[in-house]
Amino acid sequence: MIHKVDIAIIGAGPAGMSLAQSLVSGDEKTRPPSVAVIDEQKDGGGQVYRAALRQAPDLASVLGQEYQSARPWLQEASQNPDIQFYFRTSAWNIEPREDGVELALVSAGRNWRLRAKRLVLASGAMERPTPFSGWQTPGVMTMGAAQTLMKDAGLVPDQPLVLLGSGPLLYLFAKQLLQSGVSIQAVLHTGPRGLRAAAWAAFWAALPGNFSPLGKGLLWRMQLALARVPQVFNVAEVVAQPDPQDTAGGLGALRYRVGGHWHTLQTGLVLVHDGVVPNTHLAAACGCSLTWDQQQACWRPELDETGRSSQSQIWALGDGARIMGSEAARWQGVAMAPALLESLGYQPSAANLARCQEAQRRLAPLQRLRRFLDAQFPPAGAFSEISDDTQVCRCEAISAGEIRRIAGLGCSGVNQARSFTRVGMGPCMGRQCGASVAKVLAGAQGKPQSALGYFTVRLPLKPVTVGDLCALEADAPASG
Amino acid sequence: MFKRLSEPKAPVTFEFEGQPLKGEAGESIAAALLAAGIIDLRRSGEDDSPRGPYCMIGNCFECLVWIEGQGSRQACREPAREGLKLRRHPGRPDPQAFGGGS
Ligand SMILES: Cc1cc2nc3c(=O)[nH]c(=O)nc-3n(C[C@H](O)[C@@H](O)[C@H](O)COP(=O)(O)OP(=O)(O)OC[C@H]3O[C@@H](n4cnc5c(N)ncnc54)[C@H](O)[C@@H]3O)c2cc1C
Ligand code: FES
Repeated sequence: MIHKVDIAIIGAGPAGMSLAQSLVSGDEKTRPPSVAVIDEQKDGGGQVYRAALRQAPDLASVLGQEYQSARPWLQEASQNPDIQFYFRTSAWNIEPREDGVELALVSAGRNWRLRAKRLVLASGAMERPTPFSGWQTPGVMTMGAAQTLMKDAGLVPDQPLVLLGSGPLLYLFAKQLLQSGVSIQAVLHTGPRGLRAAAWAAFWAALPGNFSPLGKGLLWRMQLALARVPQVFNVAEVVAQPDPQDTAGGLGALRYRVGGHWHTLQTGLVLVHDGVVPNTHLAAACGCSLTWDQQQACWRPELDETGRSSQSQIWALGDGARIMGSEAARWQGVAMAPALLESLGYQPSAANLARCQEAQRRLAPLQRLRRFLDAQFPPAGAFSEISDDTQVCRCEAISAGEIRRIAGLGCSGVNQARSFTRVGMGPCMGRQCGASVAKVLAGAQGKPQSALGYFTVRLPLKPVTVGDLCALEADAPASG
Repeated sequence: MFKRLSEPKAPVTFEFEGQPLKGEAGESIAAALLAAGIIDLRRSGEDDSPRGPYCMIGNCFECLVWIEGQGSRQACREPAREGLKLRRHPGRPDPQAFGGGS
């Protein structure tokens, strides 16, 4: 039997959780809509509050006050009996229909279908791909990956490591590493030491209402300086080299260039980060129009002011809609609820409308903060000048040089590049390489990156086994 | 490579390439292997180069590992369980050598 709900939300991060809670917390008199929240993680919290609901106390101080303070409201939302939660559940197909959408889901080998009148994509961000020569060497990981290991499994690096890249998460994670006693060999910043000239005006504009986050950023920077970690700025090129003696082929050294000079660091672990971008895989798969965001240099779903996409039954919010950060993701959930309820013929309660207004007020300074962060941490030089020997497509081992070769043959966009070279046809289905392929093609042909398009997404959206497929039509698992 | 801040509270035993290893029930297989110092979980199907976990959130598929009886799986999304038998994911899968699965 196909399970039916009014609203299905994919993603139980701050955006999805706060939206779900707002949708069911109208006044007592009206029956709330039926709401299902789907997430492939074990519990709610998303990327930022990953494992906050089950975190061991020994990590509490390392992960910080903000992480800890999310626990009570996440717990309250998770226990709300009016919300159906389906964790460890992935959406592998989404079919827009006239009256809503139909999702194909898999939960622990159980394949089932869910029909919803509205689908909300609250599926969050991914780290911006950072292609450089040798980045596929084991021992090169993203900072988000190492932080996930810390939050989820209580693991920290047990060897000196190098941090490489730019963005607020670099400073946050450096602080978390130092606090857990990890030795940071060096920080290689792809950006400059101080504020960029282009960021000053945005900095002054962001200051009112943002003392706390800006002060926190300053503090993390100071902590890094006080720890006497060697820091290098304006790193313009990097090359990761495997250790020739290591049978596992792990990392041995990192070469980097500042100005005209190359330097070498012997290291077995490099953590890379260049900000986050919306994960548009689901939106693209649903046929929602995407738009190129010049300021954040990435694709995002095209939305109206309420969050509705070009497919009227599909909405999106949080960092999957546009990078605005975790606090904004939470307020966006509150702000979206009235319009979404109205689209289904529900009358939003007075309390709902008042909370929506408060959320709009809270979002204004966060928008100014984001403008500053975008200006200070644009995609970094070292990862934008992609050398010919860099594997832009790691799955199919296709180099930037190969992409430049087909650019010379007149390849007109990323989808044609796929037919030319198999780029984006590996298991990651182009999640990692789409933007880099477009960047290389654009550079070679002197076109804007947005003109090269994005990969058409194919089914299934997540790997499913033939066994799973044959078991289609299972009933919905018990929620919770 | 990585160490645990505290000992597993619910330890499980599993195997990688015949070597017995300990992990924490429910943590990802990738986390359990990294804690055991194993980073090259597969060989590239294209250039046979060693590959290991990169994003840890299910996006990059660099962490593919071979689970006996199940086949190819993302180690960062699959929980560690008692008795799992894991193999390094081959560059070009040879179903004969790997006893089926999907
Ligand atoms: C690895 C990583 C680490 C980060 N760490 C921090 C941090 O420490 N501090 C900070 O301020 N910001 C961090 N961020 C930024 C992050 O984007 C936050 O701003 C915040 O988590 C955004 O909230 P959200 O609700 O929009 O999405 P998220 O919190 O990302 O939640 C999205 C949820 O959707 C689920 N999902 C996605 N696709 C599917 C699918 N197909 N099927 C089922 N479920 C799906 C995911 O499992 C996830 O739980 C991080 C981002 C990443 C990628
Ligand atoms: S490490 Fe990227 S998918 Fe598992």
